[in-house]
Amino acid sequence: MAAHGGHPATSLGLDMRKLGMWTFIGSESIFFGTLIANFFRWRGSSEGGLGPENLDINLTGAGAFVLLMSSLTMVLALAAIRSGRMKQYRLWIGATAGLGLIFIGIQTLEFTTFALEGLGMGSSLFGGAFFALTGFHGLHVVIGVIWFAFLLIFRVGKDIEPGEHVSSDNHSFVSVEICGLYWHFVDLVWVFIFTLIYLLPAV
Amino acid sequence: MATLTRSLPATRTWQTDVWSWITTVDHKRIAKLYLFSAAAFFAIAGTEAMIMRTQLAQPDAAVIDGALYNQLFTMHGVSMIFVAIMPLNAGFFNLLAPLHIGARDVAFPRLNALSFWMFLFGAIFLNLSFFTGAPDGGWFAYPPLTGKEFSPGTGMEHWILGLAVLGTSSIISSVNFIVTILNLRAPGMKMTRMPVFTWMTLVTSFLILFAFPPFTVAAVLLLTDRLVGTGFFNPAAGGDPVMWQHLFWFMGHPEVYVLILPPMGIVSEVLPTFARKPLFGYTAVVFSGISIGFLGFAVWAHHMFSVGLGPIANGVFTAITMLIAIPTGVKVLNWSATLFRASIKITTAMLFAVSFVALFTIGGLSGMMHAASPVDLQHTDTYFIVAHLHYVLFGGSVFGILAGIYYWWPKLTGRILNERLGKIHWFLAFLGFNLTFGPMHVLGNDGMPRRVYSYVSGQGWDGWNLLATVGAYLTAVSFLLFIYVLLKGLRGERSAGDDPWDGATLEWATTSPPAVHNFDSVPVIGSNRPVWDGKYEGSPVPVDAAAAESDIHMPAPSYWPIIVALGLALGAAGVIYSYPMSAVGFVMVFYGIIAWTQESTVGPPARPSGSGVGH
Amino acid sequence: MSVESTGHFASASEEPTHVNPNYVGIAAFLFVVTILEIAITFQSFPLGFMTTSLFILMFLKAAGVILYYMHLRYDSRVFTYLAMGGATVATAVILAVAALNNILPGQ
Repeated sequence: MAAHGGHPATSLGLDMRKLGMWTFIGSESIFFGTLIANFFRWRGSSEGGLGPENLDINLTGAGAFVLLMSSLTMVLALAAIRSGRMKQYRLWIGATAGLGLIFIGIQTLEFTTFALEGLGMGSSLFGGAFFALTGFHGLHVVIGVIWFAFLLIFRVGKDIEPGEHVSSDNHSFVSVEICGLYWHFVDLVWVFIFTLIYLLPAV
Repeated sequence: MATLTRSLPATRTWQTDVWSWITTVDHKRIAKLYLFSAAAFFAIAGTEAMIMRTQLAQPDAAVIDGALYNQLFTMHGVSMIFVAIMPLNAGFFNLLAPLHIGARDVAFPRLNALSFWMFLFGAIFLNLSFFTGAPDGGWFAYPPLTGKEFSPGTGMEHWILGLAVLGTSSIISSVNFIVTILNLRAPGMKMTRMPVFTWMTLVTSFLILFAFPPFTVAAVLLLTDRLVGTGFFNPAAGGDPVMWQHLFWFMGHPEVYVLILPPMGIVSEVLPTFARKPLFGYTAVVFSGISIGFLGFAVWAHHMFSVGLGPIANGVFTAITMLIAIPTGVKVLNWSATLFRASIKITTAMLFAVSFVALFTIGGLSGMMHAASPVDLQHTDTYFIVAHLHYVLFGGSVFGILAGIYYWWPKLTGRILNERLGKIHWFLAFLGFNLTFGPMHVLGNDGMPRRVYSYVSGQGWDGWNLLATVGAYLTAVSFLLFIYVLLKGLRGERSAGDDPWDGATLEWATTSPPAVHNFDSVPVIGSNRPVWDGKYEGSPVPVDAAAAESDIHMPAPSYWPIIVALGLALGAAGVIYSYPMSAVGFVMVFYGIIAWTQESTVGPPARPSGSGVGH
Repeated sequence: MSVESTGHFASASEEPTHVNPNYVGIAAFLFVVTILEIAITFQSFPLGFMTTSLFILMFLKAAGVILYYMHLRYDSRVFTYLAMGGATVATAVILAVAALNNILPGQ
């Protein structure tokens, strides 16, 4: 497969891992679409318990901001590694991870509050559908944060000289890029969840 | 040099070294792993069928009881679909996709190995359920029957978690083949020059990629219903069992195209070779495959005509289902036209391929009957549907796969399967199959329901059932003969040569079996029949001279795929057996993935060995 | 094997160059749209208007993330097809479930 110890020749000129990540994103978007569909089916079934009107828009609105900002820091990290500004790259990845952790904290607070007020996964169909959707989204956030930790702990990009302007098919650059694509996807899902699950029912 | 010696002999792919099989990332060896394992599970699923047919041979028989019967028909369906036919297809994808496009391996070799090991462990886990109570709610597992109240054992957890592992394996495999086919084609191998089988691999991969996620959601929701007390599919809790059916069949219908499109691709390769003329209407056949893929997403509720969706829904799904007959008919006509005025060479592969066309057409015709929802109200849940599905999946998929085995066995092993015995195998299989499932059209019309473990005498069903069982035994004999043919085909000299059938596509330019690196030099493609044109049109396939010939780097073997796969399987199994097992499993996955990313992928260099074009 | 690109190249080099749009600007845009969304939610406009505007704003944010942060605007069209394929099936599932359960607007 290797041409000259460099990059393998490809028929579309695209990086394999990037192509793989987009293919995966195409599939995963359907997974979340189905969970959203399921939520729409059951959002009216609060069965006397907590329902869509009890969703805390302020808290989760803060979460939405946090995730959107984390996409910004992610993309700044990518720009930094592209131009070999390795210290900034690590700082921005750390910031993204930190914002991700804040989001997880916000979700944990939201879930715990609901649990204490009697809304669990099995309490009502609304509860089940809500936690299934937001729970899986939260799981994806956790995986993303672990991925950032991995980038930092295993020093992805250590082969790049400070100040070295790498091409966009550099191996480490693509490693960070696909992590970014995954993270932006997680943010994108929240863009949909926030409007469809939190804002619409309150309307 | 030790490394060079260790990479030799480059032309042998069969090694008795177990460790090399466990750590292989070579698509050709992974193909063998898939084919062999899937064949074993096919035998198990076939045995399940034989027991059922034995029970049904006579009215009011007491060979087995109803409880075991329910487990058998459930496991027969699940196994044939997910751990027999899908992995058999995957075996062919693995063998052929890189060879057909002029590549040296797939895009992600270790991920490829991961898919296989996940399949194997998932399949074993699913079958372990027989020890503790196999799932017995049908392969489609409709709640509320499959909820905690009416299926209290662990059978359904085996079903849910087993299919979760298997489904994930398939999705990962699909990503791999999509990236491979899009991005690893040799220079000049435009999409419109790819073999039909490669196109079917691509369409099937997209079907899996897009159709499985809703099912994954449904399976998770059923699991929470059972374990956590949600009520999504439980009418007593306000839930909706029909929702399960929608989500299941949204996957379930594309799934049947996942099962049939690859064998259609196989037949599209076999027929032209033994007709000694190109496939008639290559473009039409490819476009039809793509259309079937698209339309296949829009027809799922034809499995739900008796649920009461209402006349509008029933009408829409009837209409779109009937539309699928068009591209399917186009394929059948093109295959037939390929045979018209051809100089036909009758080999075993050809016999299976031609009978595929006939038997699949019969199955397609019965399918078109119950595409009409009013007709389906009579057919559904009767043996008429059993007849239909077996004509398309057995007379179709299995016969197509058998054609592929006879056709590509020489490429895989260097030996041709015994043609005389092969033709006897075909004859017994053809006779046995039709004797088994032909009568079921009559039984269905006469009102015999499916999924019943016994029936009362005097309804006119006795004789047909007996005949079907005789046919089943004959089919079983044909498979025993087939096993003998295969065993014979594993021994003896490797005398097949590169191109025993006078083929047209790139795999016939490699040695049999191919060198580990497939092609000494990267070919440059000028048509969709490169090897044929090289032999007969005076245009030998040029090679990409710029690509270094002495420096063929193949991916290194790795044991992390099997470890991650085992971890995932333990993670799933632990939900039933013990939560600490799950924890161990997830730790293995976590550690394995990290180690995977840190290991070097550069394997020992492979040397040119006279395999591939331009030599 | 040439690289498809619909973006603008920063230099004349043969390598595919990774165009950097104004990321902070996009972030400000997303910020403002989110504020708008939340503000609209707490108003008492007619229901149809609220729902429609929330949908539009949601898609505007999604477009910002996917076209600029995920770089889809500047990358190969193959990625766009993969993403849109998934998005189409996801939307179809949502609409089908809604329609079959009579919860589409207008049913």
